[in-house]
Amino acid sequence: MTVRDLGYRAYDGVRLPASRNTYVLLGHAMRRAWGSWLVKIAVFLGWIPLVVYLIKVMFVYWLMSKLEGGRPPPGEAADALGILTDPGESIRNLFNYQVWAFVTLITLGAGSGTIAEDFTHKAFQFYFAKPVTATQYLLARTGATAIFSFMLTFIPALILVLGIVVAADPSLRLQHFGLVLPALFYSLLISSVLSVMAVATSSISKSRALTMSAWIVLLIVPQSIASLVSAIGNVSWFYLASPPALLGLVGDALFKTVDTEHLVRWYHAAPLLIALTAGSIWLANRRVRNAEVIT
Amino acid sequence: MSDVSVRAVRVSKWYGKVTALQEVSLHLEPGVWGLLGPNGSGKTTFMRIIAGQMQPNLGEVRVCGVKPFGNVEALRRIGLCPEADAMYDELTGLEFVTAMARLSGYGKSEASDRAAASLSAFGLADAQDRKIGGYSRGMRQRAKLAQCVVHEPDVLLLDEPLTGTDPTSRAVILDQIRQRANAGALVLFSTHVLHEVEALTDQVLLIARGQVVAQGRVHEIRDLLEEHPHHIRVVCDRARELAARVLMTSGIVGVRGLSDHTVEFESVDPDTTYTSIATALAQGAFNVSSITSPDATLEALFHYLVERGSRGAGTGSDAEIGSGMRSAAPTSGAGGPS
Amino acid sequence: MSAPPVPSFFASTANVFRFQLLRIVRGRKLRFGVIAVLLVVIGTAVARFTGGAAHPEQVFETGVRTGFMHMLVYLLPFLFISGTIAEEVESRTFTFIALRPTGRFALTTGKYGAGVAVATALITAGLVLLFLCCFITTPALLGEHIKEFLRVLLACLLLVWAYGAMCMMWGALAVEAAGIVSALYLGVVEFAFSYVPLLKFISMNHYATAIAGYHDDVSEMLQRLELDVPAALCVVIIVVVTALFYGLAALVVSASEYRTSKA
Repeated sequence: MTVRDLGYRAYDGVRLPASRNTYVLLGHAMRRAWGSWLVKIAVFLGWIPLVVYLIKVMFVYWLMSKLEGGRPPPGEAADALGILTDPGESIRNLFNYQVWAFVTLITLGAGSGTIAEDFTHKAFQFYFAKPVTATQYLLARTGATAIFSFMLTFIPALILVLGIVVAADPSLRLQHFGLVLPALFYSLLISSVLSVMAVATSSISKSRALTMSAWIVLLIVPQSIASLVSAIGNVSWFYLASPPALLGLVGDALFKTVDTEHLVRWYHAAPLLIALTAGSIWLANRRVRNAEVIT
Repeated sequence: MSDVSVRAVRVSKWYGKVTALQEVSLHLEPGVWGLLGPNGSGKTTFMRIIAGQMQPNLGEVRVCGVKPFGNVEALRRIGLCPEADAMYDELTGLEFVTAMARLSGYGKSEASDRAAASLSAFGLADAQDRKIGGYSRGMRQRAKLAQCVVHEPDVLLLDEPLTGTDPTSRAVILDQIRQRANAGALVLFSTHVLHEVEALTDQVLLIARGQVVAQGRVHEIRDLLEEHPHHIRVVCDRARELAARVLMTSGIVGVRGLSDHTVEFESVDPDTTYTSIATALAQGAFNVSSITSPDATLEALFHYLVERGSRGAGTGSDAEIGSGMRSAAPTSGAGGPS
Repeated sequence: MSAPPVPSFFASTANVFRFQLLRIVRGRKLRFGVIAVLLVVIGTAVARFTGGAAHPEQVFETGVRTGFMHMLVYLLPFLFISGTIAEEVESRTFTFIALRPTGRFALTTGKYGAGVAVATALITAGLVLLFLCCFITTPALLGEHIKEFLRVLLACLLLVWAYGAMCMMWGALAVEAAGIVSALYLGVVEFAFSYVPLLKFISMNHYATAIAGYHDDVSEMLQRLELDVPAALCVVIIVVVTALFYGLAALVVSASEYRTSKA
């Protein structure tokens, strides 16, 4: 007697390699991040500082065209028009606004609650029942936050640099265009460091509210304490405890806007940034690997 | 103090475009009531409305004579064991139940004593000083039940209380429910496991697609479904011959041979059919093993009513089913026509 | 069956207060709060005793304004109050307390009270430590500045209560994003606006600064936009705004179903 089995058949079509899962997870993480209204707010409002700066560029361009020979006047007036002659500080300030106002929102909405949420909803059973590694999972989660952060730092900076290049004196254009490289490096640094730290913070608890609060505390408290100590005792070393301040020190060096009154420099900040990032990766990796998949 | 009762009059509740409950009317009195219905049928919404956690969009619910939403007098007499596996993980079992007892109005020592007794009744005496975060699923379920009964409520609403419990725990929980009902409480008990309801009560409330499709005792509901053919299954030595003898009698609408020794009759006149089968068996000297009716179980009733409700969903027949709700309960209240 | 009689409003409030206090003490957010307060005090002390040049009065003012009025008064209510309803709704435990015959108003009051009590205790302890740290080496100044200390304490506590009510209201209204909405409101309206001419009159921080007896450095051009509000009126304004937000929070909690499960 023959048996006509209409039941289970092993899939014999093409299977993509397991490494492909990183991209699948990344796409999923991007969609999830976009689901956060904080990310939407940041993406829509994140262009306001750029618009303000571009208006300033156009105004200065118009003003300089009225000046004799198109050259800036000496003294204080030159400072006011400096966005076209020495644009490093303006671009550095643009980064400052983007980080504090918008990258913070991105990391809050897409990063600082992400692993806690997966813990709460017992989502690991779905990910890790598939050929997905902890590394792939973390890469995807961090990548989504980093991509949005990078978009809101590099693209505005690039547009501002290009605007300045177009409006600047022809002799300075090539020099100003050279700011694209530090802008790119700084954007990559900001987005990778803050994303890794935010995602690592999200792994410390199952409570999303707690991890998000912890991230806010981590961003604000050390910075405030450093400002306090600096204001009282003119001691700037406390800035080394603040992640945004560490990034700021590197940014100052990249755009040559170092405050000479402060003793802390980028070479103090850089090792700490590396240590913080490595520590964050270690923490998140450990938490995810140790997560018990309980249904 | 009003009598212990739950009364709903044309209660409707919707979430945006989704209708969770549609014109539900009923009257429940003390005793154990099994609340049955498929997933998404509106059981939890109904329980939450009775528990005063939600307000109906239309209609009115009264628990012990008063509206429950935001009404402390009603809440005093209600105990709810929610379905969700959510607890205060940072507290011990005793702290949690004591806090709930204190919020119910007991003094410090009284609350603590009652909490300990309540936890003990559900077999958690040894674990009462451990953090709830370290409890197993079954223990968490029992802790939820302990908080639910700690203030001796008159109306107990248990939303799938047996989820995650082992057979021993189930026996303890079912025993506690029986005790509360015997003491005069109204227990509304929702579950998907039908034989658990059958073990506890034969009073059921069937919900499908947000409508109460039947309310009352299982066999009474079954008797009301006159248009639904009764099934009579006979196991004997010459099943085909028996089928041929009975086939032509009145009321038979179908015959199915399940095996060489088993035949199942479908009848719209079961009394006549039973008589015909008995006569045929006697005249033909059949060797009979059993005569049973597969319809008599709650499962059969559930499937019949729920499937019928589903078939009519989204069409005009929905309203017809709703208005034609079968009720075997006393018609003193606002229940549907019986 | 013999359920106990409905407890009085005060008994209910006290029970909710105790329960919430127990949860705060057991939770991890309290550690964040304590660490933040200690960091402010320790940071000020380090700067005071290593920086050298600054006067104790200046150190105290900077410590209060930067550490307390620009950080802790926002942070502590945010930590202890913004999620008090929302976290229970999100973790589906709200049903347990909402089912009890406490009444939603007592529930709101007890929860707000517990969060504010913890924040008040931390702010008071922090300010006392800061005050001692600034003036301990100059006992004569210690007595002289006790009035200033009390003014500052009042200003900070009023802010904590006001921001607590705001966090309570936003946390009750936007349960899915309680922390974020509260943080945004405090960050934008209360913090950022306190630096903007005219808009600063919306910020309670501006009035608290006046109660503390501190003044912002304002350019001559903006002097005309300044308005000298008496301290007593500032107290009234903050109290009224606190009551308004608290009333709204109680209203929202009373009327909301806080649905956490589907049909």
